[in-house]
Amino acid sequence: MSVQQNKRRRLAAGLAALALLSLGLGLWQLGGAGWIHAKAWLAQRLLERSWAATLDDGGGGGTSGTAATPQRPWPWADTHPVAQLQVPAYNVDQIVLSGASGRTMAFGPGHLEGTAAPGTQGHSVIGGHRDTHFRFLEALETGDAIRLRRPDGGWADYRVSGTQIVDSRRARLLPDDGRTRLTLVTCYPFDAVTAGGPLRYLVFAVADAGA
Amino acid sequence: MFYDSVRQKLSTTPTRGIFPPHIVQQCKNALAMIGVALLAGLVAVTVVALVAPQALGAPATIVAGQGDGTDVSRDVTAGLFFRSGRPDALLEAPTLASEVVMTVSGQVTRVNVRQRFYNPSKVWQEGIYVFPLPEQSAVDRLVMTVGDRRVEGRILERAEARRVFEEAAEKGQHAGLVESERPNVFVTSVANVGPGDEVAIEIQYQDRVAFADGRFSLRFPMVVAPRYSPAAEDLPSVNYRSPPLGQPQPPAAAPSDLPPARPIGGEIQANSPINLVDQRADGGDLFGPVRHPDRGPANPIALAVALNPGGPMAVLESLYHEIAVAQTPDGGQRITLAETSVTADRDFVLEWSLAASETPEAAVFGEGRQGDGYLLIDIFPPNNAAAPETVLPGLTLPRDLIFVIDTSGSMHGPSMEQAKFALRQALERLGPEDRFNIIQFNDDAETVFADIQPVTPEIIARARAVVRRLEADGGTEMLPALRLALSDPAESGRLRQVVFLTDGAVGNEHELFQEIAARLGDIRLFTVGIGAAPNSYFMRKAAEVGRGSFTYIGDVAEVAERMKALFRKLETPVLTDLALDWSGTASGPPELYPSTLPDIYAGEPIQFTARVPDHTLDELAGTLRLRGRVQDGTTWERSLDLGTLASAPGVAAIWARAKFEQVEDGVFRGEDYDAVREAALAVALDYQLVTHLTSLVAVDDAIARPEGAPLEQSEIPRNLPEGWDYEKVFGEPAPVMPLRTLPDPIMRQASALGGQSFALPQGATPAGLMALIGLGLLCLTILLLLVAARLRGAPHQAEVAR
Repeated sequence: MSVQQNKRRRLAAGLAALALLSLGLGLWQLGGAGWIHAKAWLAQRLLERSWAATLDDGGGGGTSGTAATPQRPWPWADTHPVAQLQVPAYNVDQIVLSGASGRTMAFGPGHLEGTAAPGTQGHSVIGGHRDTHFRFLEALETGDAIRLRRPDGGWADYRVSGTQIVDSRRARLLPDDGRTRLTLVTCYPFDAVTAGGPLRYLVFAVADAGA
Repeated sequence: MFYDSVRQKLSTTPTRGIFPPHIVQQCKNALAMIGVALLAGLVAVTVVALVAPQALGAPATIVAGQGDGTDVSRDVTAGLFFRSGRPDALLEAPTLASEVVMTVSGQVTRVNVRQRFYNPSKVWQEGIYVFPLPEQSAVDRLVMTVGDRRVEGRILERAEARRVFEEAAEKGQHAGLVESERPNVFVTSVANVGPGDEVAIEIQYQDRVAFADGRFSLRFPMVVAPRYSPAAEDLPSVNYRSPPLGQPQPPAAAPSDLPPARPIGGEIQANSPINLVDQRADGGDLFGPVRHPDRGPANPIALAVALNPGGPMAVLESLYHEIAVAQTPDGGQRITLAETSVTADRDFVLEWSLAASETPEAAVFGEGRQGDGYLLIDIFPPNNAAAPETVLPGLTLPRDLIFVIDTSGSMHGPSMEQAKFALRQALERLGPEDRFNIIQFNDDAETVFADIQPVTPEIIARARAVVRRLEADGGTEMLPALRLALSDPAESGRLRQVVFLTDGAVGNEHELFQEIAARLGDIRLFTVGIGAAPNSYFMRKAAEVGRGSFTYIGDVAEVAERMKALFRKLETPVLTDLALDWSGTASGPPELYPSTLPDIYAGEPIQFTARVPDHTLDELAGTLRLRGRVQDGTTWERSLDLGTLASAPGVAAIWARAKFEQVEDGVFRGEDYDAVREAALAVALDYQLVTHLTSLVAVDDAIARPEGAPLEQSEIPRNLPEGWDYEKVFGEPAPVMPLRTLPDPIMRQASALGGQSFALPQGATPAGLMALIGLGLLCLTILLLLVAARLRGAPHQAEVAR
């Protein structure tokens, strides 16, 4: 009987070791996930400071979206704030960064380079992560108001005109056509577990003439 | 929402004894608490990590960007798109057929690309056609045929050409316009295509035959995207639907998703209404994978090559397409595709070599134009049929190699892995007499070793360890890295080569070019482009200024092969300091392009073009003497008798194309921008070249569109064209896809888009997946602990029971 008990003990010890390993890995993964969200949240707080600096700086400068001296949110950042995005209906108030690379979008919505500067005449495109900053895109409906603040402090008002799901392998956004509009882009479906799928959720908005 | 679904799954897990319901409940509560606690802890850690280094002024070690960092490439999709009057509606027109006729005489190629399109709608439309051509092609002719009217294009400054075109479009005239978006991407616009009408657009260009390692090659690109704006993972790529290697080419759809179209001579059977933007979003089959790689022909191309290689050929080979070859009476070959037409999804490449005894030492082609003589000169390396390594033996000098690796944030992800792999490959190729050092840069540049190192196993091992630990983060400050790499001059008796691995994500190109030009000396700079969308303009120019070469690596699978090819080059430079002696003409020196002859590596020819003012071809005589320095210090010399030149129309255009590029390059040598632009414009207008400054425009005098008929149309017919069969085209059943207008904001005014469109950024993090894995593992932990506890506890319970 003691032999059998020993066997069980050993098995139990082995299982406990496995459990420890699994616990470690699990915490590591959860930590990674939390890290992404923490970074997304925290970066916005840091960005608010540099955005305030940008506003101070851009007030006297040009009206174009790119301030002459970009205010970097932290010294080693390879991006800088270019606009402030507000959706009053959903209490969204975010700082938009320059460049829509995966790296930039970890910190905030990114303005797609080459498209019109946010809040200025032309077609601006802003991308964001569907599970962090741009989660609210799912809720946006036609007619919702979106506001963009330029570095010069002025506001531009937009109204959602429609949404669409496209396959990014085929879809291409066309640049400026003279009209002032805004397109917000995020991944689709919103609840997909894995990142990197081909689908994109687009929210189109046009300059709100009534505002 | 995601967490909810996980919880739901947990709570519905059947509880078969081992998991009593209350334990499951506790487990859930515990998990939730762990999650909250972790998050709180992480926030704290984040605050410390982000703020502390900032306070200290030190660079952070945070690796950002858990997203996959998909780069935004600005691909242009090839194909013809009709624009309806409604500004936001663009319909892709079915391509009926493309016919390409290439005439090769020696080193000069004249290509005629004729593309016929059909407007299937009931309205007058305007078409926009985006297509690729070889990078160095000189497009100098446009002929538009609408119905039985044939209109020749003329060259105008770009804005002016567009104005003329718009005006004609407004008036209802047939009009065609060819613009160049990049040296290798062209856009044609066609106005006022009548309902049911066919439009033919003919583009003619001049190109030269490439030569390397004993083989001549001729390339005709059929897809825009892959080569210069290589696709990111989720963007269209050649691999998306291309067949496994080694299989004969099935008629797959082009990556750019050109519509399926009827084969030449057949009936229209597959007029796909695919728009620029995927319409299947509404069809509901978006999630279905593309199952059939051979789902139907798209944009078929018929191609014929009249090849007069100038001697008996040893080998003739088409790399990617099956061909049929016939002798022509004049001693040349006529090459056609084995199939009548093929799908436009990969480049057509024809390679040939001449019988060894017939390979000329040099080829000189000439053309007279307005009293001037134009020459295209190719001097081939001796013995070019033999292995290139044996061409000039004994020249390999020991080398000092400086590897510069970009570890900036833009390299994060696959790019960094490729770069590290490439660097490891490079370390393996070093010879025992070589020396090396590694520089890594992001915000600042630093050398891995204080001084240049000999190649010993220990040092290589140390270097490999350093490379393995490299991580991408921070800015892209390239200038200090370049300075560092070019700081020590080349020692005599040793070759100093700088190999620069980067994605070139920099904005200060011109400053960098100036730096390279100023510090180069005897050093040679080789760029290796890494990643999904490297800045190829920067790479190519940097290598040109650095008198080296540019290697592009778009895929990890290509790293080994590309690096090997690069190293073969690096190891065997043949000739440097090439200079030309010109005797035999009375007038001043000829105008040469490129004006500084590049170094010649094993197997490469010496190629340049020249304009001899005030000499017709007949008046050209005498000898052309080329001198170069062989690496052991001796002088190499070659004389060319100009009396032997062969006449070839188009040489002047090739010369002008080379001149245009060199004039434009003046900008980064610090010349005044306006002056450069003016000079470049003069060249393009003078020689009728389509460039980014000039366009060809063709306007028919007759008014085609009746005054009453609008070019504007509120709605495009919604029904499917006759005989269109989704299953046949897409290989899977799907809902009927109606022909419809595009959603309002996506696109409009394709004529104004200038060929530029934007890929959509990626917008998701792996956080959800990581959380799921994490939760799963935690559940596993608890399960294991429970089982372990039971195993321990069971005997005791048994005893108690007894």
